[in-house]
Amino acid sequence: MGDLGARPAAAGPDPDPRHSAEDLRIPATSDPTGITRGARFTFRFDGDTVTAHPGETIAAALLAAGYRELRRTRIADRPRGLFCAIGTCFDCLVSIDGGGPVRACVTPVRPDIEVEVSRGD
Amino acid sequence: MATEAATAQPIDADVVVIGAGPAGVPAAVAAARAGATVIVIDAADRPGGQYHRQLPHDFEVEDAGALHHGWRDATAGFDELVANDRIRHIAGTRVWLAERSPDRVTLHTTGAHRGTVRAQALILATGAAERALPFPGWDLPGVLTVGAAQALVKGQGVRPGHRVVVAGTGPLLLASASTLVRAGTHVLEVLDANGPGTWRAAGPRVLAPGKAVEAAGYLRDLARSRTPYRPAQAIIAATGDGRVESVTIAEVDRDWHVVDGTQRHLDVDAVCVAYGFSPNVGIAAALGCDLTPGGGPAVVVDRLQRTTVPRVFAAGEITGVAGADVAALEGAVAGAAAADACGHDVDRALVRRQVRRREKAQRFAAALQRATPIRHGWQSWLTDDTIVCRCEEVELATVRSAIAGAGVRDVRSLKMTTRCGMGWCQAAICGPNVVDLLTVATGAVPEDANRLAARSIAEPVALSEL
Repeated sequence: MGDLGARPAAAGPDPDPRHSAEDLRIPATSDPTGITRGARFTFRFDGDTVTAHPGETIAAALLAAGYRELRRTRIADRPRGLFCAIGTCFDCLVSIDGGGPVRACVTPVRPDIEVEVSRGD
Repeated sequence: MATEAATAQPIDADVVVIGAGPAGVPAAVAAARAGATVIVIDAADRPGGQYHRQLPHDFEVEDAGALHHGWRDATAGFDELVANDRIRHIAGTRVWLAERSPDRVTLHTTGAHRGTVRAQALILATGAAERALPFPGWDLPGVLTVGAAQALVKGQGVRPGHRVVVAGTGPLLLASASTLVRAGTHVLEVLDANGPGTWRAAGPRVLAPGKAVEAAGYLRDLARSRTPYRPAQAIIAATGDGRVESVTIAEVDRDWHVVDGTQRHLDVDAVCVAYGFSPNVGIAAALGCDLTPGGGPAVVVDRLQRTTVPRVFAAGEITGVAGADVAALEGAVAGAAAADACGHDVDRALVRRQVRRREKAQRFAAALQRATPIRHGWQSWLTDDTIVCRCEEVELATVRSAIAGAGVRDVRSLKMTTRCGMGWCQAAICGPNVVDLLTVATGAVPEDANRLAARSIAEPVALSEL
């Protein structure tokens, strides 16, 4: 693994050191838009518990929490993640509650869903 | 099997508009003001398109326009979508099939509204998709399009990474870098593959007063955050273990070939790339509208935004990428012309003025296009194992051997031989690049360059909806 650079110290336990502990949500203090998010809830991603807010897509909630890999490709098992974020490229396919692949970038996150990396699609 | 979709009553209107972005909203408003009943179908939950993308209803915001340009005019249009009782906005819905008879257009929709919409006239305002050029490692998680970064920041309040490089060319490069900086993203550098010489060659129109002020504002945002803007440099590779961790940057010459000895590396956790736009012509092509020749096809329209198919109009980026200001003017003209085609009275003097303003604005857009060309040198950044088609995992070597070995000269044969463009995205990402690879390798634009755009089904649908 390459140089991780100057990452902020983890605020709590983080099972994967590649998941930076600093949330990528625009902080309320420095946000020019002045966002107030709704009450947070949790869902699961490959067994991990992840926090989300109402109105977020699955992809945005996972990115904010530091997850980048959303699927593995069919032929060479390559890692893929969010690329176009508007539903065009289909590279952010995930499985919800064991169902068929959906685009994480256009699918709203809901409390308690089980999201898994999509494999072989 | 009787599904809800099959039994839903068709909805009728004089005019149906596909897309509620910078062209679609003014189109709907203009048609309704002329007396037409209008249905607007849009994939997003809120109007604005990709350019004026809004935060979800669930977020409370103090200043929704803080990260937007032209927000006041845009929101006036959004308000009228709601206030004008001749307009019905069908949100969260995509068109997957469009059919035409001599006197009517029928659209089949999926998403929030599953059913059928019928109208006398159709306005296509489907916008453009970002173009993304391949380079080694461009499929690693963490490499995003700048449009993706804009969608995340403007539409979700999430930044793409902690250490970000923005690279590419085109009008969105500076604008999106400025948006990222204003959202508190650490943007390490902004790289423009085109150099200052290209801007000078584009002529004085790119330096039109209003536009120069806009560009100066972006550069000021970058200066404030001490983000260097480097012309004639490009990201030529990305590496990392399971996600992008480092990029290779190099100086490039006028044709975008790497200048030897200038390579350097930068540690990053996200990369945002922008290489212009490709119009979303799928539905237009399926309806039989003529497209301009070449790899970046656009719908051919006349001064009144009429396509070559009767009762079908087009406005905005789908007719050629020219930006939100031109899109709004084209939308207004298309809306009036469509209402006129349905027998409503339109203010002809107003339409004439809008046509003149549009033509002036288009000259700026054409100059901007000349200032931000895609040069073929990008192909020299690729290695044999660089992915060309992300969905089907087709590597460059496979494409090259199909052309050199099997003598493939056209898009259709290349698709059949290599599976390029046959996956989930249906060539939305690789299409223009495949056309470019064929063009350089064979010395001629392939005869069927527009073929990858002309799919009959414009959106993947569940079997239960058929």
